Amino acid sequence: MEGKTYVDDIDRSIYDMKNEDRDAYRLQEGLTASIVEQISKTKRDPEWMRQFRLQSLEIYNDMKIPDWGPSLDGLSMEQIVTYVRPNTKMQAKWSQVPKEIKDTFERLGIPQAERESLAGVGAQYDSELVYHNVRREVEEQGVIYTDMESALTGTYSDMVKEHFMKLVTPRDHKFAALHGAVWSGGSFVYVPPGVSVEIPLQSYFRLNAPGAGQFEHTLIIVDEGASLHFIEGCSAPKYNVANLHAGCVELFVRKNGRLRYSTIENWSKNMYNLNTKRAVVDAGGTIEWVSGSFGSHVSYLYPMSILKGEGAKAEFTGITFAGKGQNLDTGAKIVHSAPKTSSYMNTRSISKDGGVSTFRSSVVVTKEAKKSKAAVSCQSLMLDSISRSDTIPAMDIRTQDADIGHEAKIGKISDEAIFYLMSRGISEEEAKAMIVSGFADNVSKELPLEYAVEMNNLIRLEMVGSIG
Amino acid sequence: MEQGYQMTINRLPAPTWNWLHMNESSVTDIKPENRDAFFFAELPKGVIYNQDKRQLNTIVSGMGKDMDRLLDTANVSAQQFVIGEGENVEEPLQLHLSYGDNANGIHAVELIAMENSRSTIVMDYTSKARMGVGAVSTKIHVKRNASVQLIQVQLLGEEFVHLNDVGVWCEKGGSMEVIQLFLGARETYSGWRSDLFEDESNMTVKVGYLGRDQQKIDMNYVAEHSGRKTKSYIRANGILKDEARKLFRGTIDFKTGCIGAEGEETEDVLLLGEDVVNQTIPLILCGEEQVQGNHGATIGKLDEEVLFYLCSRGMTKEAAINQVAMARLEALNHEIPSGKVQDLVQNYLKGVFDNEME
Repeated sequence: MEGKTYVDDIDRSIYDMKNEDRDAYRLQEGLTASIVEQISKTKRDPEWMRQFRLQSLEIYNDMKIPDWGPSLDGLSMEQIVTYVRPNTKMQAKWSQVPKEIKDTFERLGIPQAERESLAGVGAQYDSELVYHNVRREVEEQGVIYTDMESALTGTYSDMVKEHFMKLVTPRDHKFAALHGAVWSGGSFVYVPPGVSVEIPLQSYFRLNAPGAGQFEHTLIIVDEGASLHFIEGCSAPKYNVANLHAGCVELFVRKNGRLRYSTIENWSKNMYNLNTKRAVVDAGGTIEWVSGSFGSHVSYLYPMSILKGEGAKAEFTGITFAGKGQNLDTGAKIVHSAPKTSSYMNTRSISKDGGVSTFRSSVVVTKEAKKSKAAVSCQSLMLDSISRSDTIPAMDIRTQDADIGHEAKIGKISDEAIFYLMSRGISEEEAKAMIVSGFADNVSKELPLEYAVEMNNLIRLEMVGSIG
Repeated sequence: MEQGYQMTINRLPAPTWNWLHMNESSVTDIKPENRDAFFFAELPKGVIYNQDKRQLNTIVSGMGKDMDRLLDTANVSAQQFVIGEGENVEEPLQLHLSYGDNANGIHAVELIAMENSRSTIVMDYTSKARMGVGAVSTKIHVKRNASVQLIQVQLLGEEFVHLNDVGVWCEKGGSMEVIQLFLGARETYSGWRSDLFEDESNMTVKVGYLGRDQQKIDMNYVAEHSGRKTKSYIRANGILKDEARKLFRGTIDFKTGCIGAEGEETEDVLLLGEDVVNQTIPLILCGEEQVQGNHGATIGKLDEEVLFYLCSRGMTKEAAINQVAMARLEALNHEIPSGKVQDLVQNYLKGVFDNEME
């Protein structure tokens, strides 16, 4: 009888390190107007933000839980702490960050990555940033990279007010409303016209407190003809209570601007990752999403690109690896609403050990988007029959003058490919491992190589042996 | 008088975002009654006919439970056809559904293809009037190694509402082959579901549609693989003109244990109007490792090179476009094993495209 291959889970020991819960301040569990008021007061919000939070809470209370995705039965807002402030202020030097927290980020490889290959780093621990720094030469280019709280009251406060949750509004869905009510932390980036940031900026989000939620807000504006690569990473240790991540990312790419937004998501397997990401792209601009989803117990994650200006482009490259106890519902949404826009979606998903992976997408081409092109390619690999892999791609085309293509494949490893490799002297075990690695590499090669130690650890899927 | 009926039909087996409005469809104002709707059968040798209480209620259809509920409420009995064991019925069984002015027809057809039998059913839907409602449920039980070919051609008047629902259950080695052409009616709802329940059963569905004016075509096709080495192939090929709207849902569902199953689904849509709406959602649901599933879709206007070639041969742009559109549908029409029905379709298409040329 043919042996069954074992494909290792990702080695999570680095991410599972826990620090004792020694936060300086935490709110009680649950979600009430009083809690929202307390968050607003603690963060010294301007009045408009306080009002915004309370309105978002009302919307949250009116909206229903999604009825189309993975079950959220294990998530109770009554048991989630929405704000946990770590025992430090935001620092501009790692040496000033409390040792325990600094050690955590050291082990995740963040300071090392900053030294070697990043233009700036923001590190969030629970609800607040504990470290933020940007290279002087980048600052001298006029690039603003700061924490959201500083941006909200600083020189760029008007710009923040003009853009904050205008792209993802609290009415989008229940967890966008939740975000609007309790958001904390995150980054604000502004790249002035014509400025090209040659090396990436990075934000890393670490959730240490058990039973807590993280609700960081990322707002990036890449002005006309400017370009930026922004990297986002996240992780948490595993607890036996549910944690929640309901972040929000809003990206504005102005005329002929270019933004690459890369994410390696590696939350622990008790995490409900209900994140919302959206980009709007003006004429001639480009948004590129590179997305790796490896962690979480349940994920709802579909970065959306709105191609608003003529000739705007979007590219989405994603990989999802669903293992035991995971139900990862991921994909992307693209709206073509201007002429000559183009998009390409290329995803891979792997399911094993009872994991459930769903690729969900939508491509909407409006009547105005004449001469637009869209292509979607999704491939799924099942490594056993106790897992699931579903693809649910939707297309809504409202002009005749568009060119739309879609293809999807699902299956196991090809026997012919194994035979071919074996005929070249490679062992069966090695051949199958090569094929699985190759399947993932097709997407992972798009991920930024400079993305700290963590990314390599995740991409190295340690596939060994033959696949059944 | 009976009140209009509210139905929710053509549900996606796995729902998606509600804002896309693709998860299901609602139909209102279907009357649970029969009026001016006529059913004729031309029985070839080897087919046993009976009209009786519906028997194949356990077979699930593409439209879902609300269609069964409509049949129950309208107290519709089944037109039952049985193909005897080992029978090779050479002539097609022809079923004609014909509708009068302002007709409201609700019919149920049941076919049991006994072991090792071979048969072909050709169903055509025609109307003398522009307006009416025709709802037809067809349930088919394909027994061991039986082979059934089903042809359905809809040429209804331009204000008709047409519901065409099919459910198929395949036993070991059973084979179901289908050709459907939807060319008329203001609103067409088509549900299809094949349960490839036992090993080595297979199904092929080829659908052709033409949407024009303000026509709406709403489809839900599901191939559920439970048996080992089962095969499914769904191909939809359509043309949308003017302000036509179309929603095609296609699902290949691999259940755990369907080792060696293969499923393929393709859709090719030619868009020929500034105001058309084309919605497509092709699903693959998979709970089994050892399967192969593919789907592909191409949606767009007529290739410029083809158009240029035809125009360079002296055709006007409109004539060239119509020629290509007609050829697509005629390719499927030629596969219909009934000269009479082929002629019917050809004349219908000619009428449509000639009118546009005038």
